[in-house]
Amino acid sequence: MISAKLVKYLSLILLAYLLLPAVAALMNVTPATVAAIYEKDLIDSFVVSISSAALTTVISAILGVPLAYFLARSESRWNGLFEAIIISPIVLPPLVTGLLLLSIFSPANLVGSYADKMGIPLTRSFFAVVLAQLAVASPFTIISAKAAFEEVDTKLEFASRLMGKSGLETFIRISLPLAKHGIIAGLMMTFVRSIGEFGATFMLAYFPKTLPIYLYTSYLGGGIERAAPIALMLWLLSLLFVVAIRLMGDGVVGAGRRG
Amino acid sequence: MELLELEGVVKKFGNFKLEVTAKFEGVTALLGPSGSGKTTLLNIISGLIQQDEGRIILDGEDISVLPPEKRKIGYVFQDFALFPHMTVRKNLTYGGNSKVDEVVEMLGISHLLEKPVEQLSGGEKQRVALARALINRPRILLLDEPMSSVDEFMRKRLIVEMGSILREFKIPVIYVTHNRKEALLIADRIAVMINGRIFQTGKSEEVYEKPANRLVAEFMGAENVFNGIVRKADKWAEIEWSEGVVYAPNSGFKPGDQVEFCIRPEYVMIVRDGKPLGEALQGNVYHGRIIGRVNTGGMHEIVVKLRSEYVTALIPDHAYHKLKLGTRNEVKVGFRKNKVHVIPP
Repeated sequence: MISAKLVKYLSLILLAYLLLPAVAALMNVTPATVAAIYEKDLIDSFVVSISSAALTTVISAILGVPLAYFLARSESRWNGLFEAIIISPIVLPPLVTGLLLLSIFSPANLVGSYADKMGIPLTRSFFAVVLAQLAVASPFTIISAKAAFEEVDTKLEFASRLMGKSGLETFIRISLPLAKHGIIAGLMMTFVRSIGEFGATFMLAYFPKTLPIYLYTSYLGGGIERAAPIALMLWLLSLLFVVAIRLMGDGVVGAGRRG
Repeated sequence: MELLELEGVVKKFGNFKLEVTAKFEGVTALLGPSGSGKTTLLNIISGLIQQDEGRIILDGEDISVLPPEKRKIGYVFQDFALFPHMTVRKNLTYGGNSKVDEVVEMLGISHLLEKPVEQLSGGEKQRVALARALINRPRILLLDEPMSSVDEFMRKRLIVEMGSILREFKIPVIYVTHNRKEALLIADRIAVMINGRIFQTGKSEEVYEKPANRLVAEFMGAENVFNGIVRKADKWAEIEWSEGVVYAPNSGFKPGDQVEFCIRPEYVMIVRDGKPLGEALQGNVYHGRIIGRVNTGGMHEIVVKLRSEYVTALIPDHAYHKLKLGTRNEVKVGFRKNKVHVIPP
């Protein structure tokens, strides 16, 4: 028979293991790593990561939220298939997604070469970074927002229409505010996933270097020692966002209770 | 007084087919069992569902293809569908009319204006929903089972109150319910909808006492519906049925007509022994045995088996005791002649 003690010890093992990266990260804080954080290359990568993830999140909001609404309200029997395709980048190895994108956007191909001529290169550019992140991270917004819209009673939308409001105004004043918690949660996941994106970015946009790419090249060139400051920075960024999401979550739940 | 007409409106969902031609004016209860298509009909009228065929005409104007926001329809949903992220005031003014005083006073909800809707009770929500539906001066008002989430003991009072408010607006009101008593309490007119079709529309008493067919008769609680053949047709129609003959008002029948006739349980009399029969019952008396008794509170429902048919009678408490119906079994029942309704063939 499994005793309560054993259960406690078993859970302690995993707990200890999961705390290891945090411990390692803290052990890596030396005067040298702290100084390295101010290096120009690292700051450049930091800026690329944050700004590309922010742009990806904004695009996900503008394009992904309406798509989520459409999926939530559509009664087509093709929805299941459609959704599976949209969700696939979440489970697909990002390298595969990157490879597939490359086959469209590389200068050797039609779309890529045309864009190149227009002066908007779709590989090895800031825009390429965003394209890679969008493919991998925007499905989080779509899934979360869709679930949130499905929770909004369509009768409320009907009531709004019957009070003289157009479909668009109904969406803005009824559907959107009632689904906002799910939408915000989805956007935050999209942002965090974008910051951490490596595989698709690696295929499509080796330059400009995002933090994960920079981490990889630093490790190849100088081992753990060179990579440690970058790892530390990513670790701190992630922690920050997890805490932020938790706080948001508490706020969200609290507001629900008050209402 | 505006008039709402539905002309050959058809909507199919899988095996279910809704097919309605009807006129609505004043306060009409759309009465029918659940699943008969009542809510679907409201949704078609309001434009939330597009019909496959047919036209919707409001006061001569064809509104069949107008989007819902252009139809000027007030709709009280079954669960009220108040906007949960707004206060009562914001709910009322959402449609653009900020003058809430009149409707708020009429419904007695001024003290609720600044409350979030989540804090309202079922009855309060119902009033707010009605206020919200009325505030923009709709041309039609639709109510979908508005009493379903109101406490049973409050219901009767609220229905009567609501009925008087609805009548003030002089617009077609369609009040959906599956409850016969509720329909009779609130409405001047009743439309009986069964299985996707409206079988009868008319004044409440008329639908109650003179159902157009067996389905309506059974749903309206006529309970006693029988088959017969018209033998003679003079002032009274003489109808032969399994228990002998029955006399009913003659509204143009011919000898040989196969008919169904019904009599409401409250018009089935227990005949007192040794007393001469009045003209009202002459010829319509049958011998039987009581086989069931239900006390429905002030009234007693008794089931009498005649030779082969069963008859339900509704007897007031005092008469029940006076006639000792609680203890004896053999009775004579009489059908009041002018209340026997022959369903047109």
